[in-house]
Amino acid sequence: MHRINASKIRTWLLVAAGSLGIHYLMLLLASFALHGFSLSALWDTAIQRLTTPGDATRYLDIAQNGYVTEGENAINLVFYPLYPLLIRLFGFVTGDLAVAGVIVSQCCYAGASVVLYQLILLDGSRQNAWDGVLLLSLYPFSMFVMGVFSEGLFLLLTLLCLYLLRKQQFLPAGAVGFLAALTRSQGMLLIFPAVYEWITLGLGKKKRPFRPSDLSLLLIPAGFGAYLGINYFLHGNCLKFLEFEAAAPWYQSTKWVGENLAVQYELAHQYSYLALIIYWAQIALFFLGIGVLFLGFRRKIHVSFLLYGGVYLGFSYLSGWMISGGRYMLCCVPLYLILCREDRPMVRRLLLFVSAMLFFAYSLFFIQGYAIM
Amino acid sequence: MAHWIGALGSIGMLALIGGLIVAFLREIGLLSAQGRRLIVKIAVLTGAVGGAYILLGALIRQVLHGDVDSAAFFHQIFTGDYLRACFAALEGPGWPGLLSGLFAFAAHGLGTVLFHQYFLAGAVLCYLLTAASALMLHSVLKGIFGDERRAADVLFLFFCLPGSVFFFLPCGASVGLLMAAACLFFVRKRLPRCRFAWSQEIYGWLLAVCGMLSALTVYGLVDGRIG
Repeated sequence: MHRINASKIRTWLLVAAGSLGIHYLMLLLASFALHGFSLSALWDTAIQRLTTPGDATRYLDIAQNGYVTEGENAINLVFYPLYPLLIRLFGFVTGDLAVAGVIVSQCCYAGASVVLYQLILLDGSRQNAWDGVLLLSLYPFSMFVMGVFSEGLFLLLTLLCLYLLRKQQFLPAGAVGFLAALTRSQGMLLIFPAVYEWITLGLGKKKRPFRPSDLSLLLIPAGFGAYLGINYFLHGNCLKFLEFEAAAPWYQSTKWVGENLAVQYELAHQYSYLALIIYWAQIALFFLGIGVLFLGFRRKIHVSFLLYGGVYLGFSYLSGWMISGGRYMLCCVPLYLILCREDRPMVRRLLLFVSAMLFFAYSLFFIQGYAIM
Repeated sequence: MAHWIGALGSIGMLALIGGLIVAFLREIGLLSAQGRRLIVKIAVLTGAVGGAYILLGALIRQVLHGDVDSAAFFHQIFTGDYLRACFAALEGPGWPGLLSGLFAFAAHGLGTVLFHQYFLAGAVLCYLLTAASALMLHSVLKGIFGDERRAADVLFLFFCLPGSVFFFLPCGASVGLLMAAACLFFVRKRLPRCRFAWSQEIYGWLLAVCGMLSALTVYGLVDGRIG
């Protein structure tokens, strides 16, 4: 057990406050830009944009009514259960599910910032750790961590799982991975760094023998198995969610990355008013992701992190009809772990400055109601 | 342009997978730092030479016929009868020959894994086979010439010889190369030594002549006169 002293707690509170503070500042600036000095307009904007766009209403519906087997809300099955469950539980405290959703998201995001800070500290300096938290906060599509979306919770669980794997604490890592797999489909990908850590522990320099507690890593795919079980319980078909995803309004399919990128390019030309918001952003993020992961090799970042980043990137870009690539890449945490290790002062300054500008621009577009989802 | 972006994305993704495999082998002690550097060097060299051949073919085809959507569509670029049969075998049942048939079978299987991207699978497989052959040949040549520099010179020259373009196209040539390289690799300790040295000026002229002859070969393949 690590000793947690007052200094550490103070640092953690600063990290949490800082990461949330950036988003509150953004809301304030955006409201000022759009409505001038009006607190009521700020409040209305915040409530409206944090609790109603995109998938938010679906999460609230699941929290309210659970999964249903008939009617138009039967398709809500495609959303994983943990986040709506937490909304429901906190809803007993707040009395309002939307407020509960916002609180859960923001608390999880604050926690994720702290875990990210500690994770970077395992291999990097304090400056690297602060930079990592800044880069996460200033990611252009990070506004989703503030509203009724599962990104905050998923970030927390992913980072915690990677931290525990890095510390070779497989039992808690498996438990956290189980929860991550019940939050988003990408959660089950944590099995890749988990198995990698386990194999290298056995075959690497330490050659640690097998322990029964290592089997707890199987909890990660078990989380996905639990979700399949929900599908079976409700519809008699483990893969019912795939049928719903393939139909309206998502029309999802699985195609090779290259094919999807080519389609994204064509869509950027076909729907030019959405190009910079959705399609070009997604194409740019893919190549940025690939470039940063290769940079990770040069910076000797822990290979299990690079493996998770590669698998996450590949899995996300297998979606044949992707319009939320910016939001998906928010949770590709290895990117922050790599970019924060930039020690060249000019590059570091440019990186933070450009991130801040893009964060402001895309947050403003989101608050104005543009199709960022 | 769309297909260029798709092709670049595919290459990036596959290169990342390759990098992760090499990193894993290093971490469990199966690969030394020197070995990793050699693999990366050979992989980049092979990719660069193969890419140069494909791009040259695309350039020639585009100038002559103006109908190339992307260099990624190498089946549009190289149109000889044998190559057409090989490309057709990637997607469906076909057996253009022993080695080409084996290649097509393996590529079809890989293509099924890659979400029915058969041409991509063919390109990846011939690249992997050629790169593996290059690694083995590098080891053989180093043993023969006793010097890393001369081994690299000869290896590069080999891939610039007219006809080497076939090693980078989805056909049986890369399988044959792998088999030959494996045979040489296993008997490398019994091969005679050669301490002949050449000047870099002569080597430069040799490369230039080979390059032009290779370009002529590519022209013949693009125009359907050979292959």
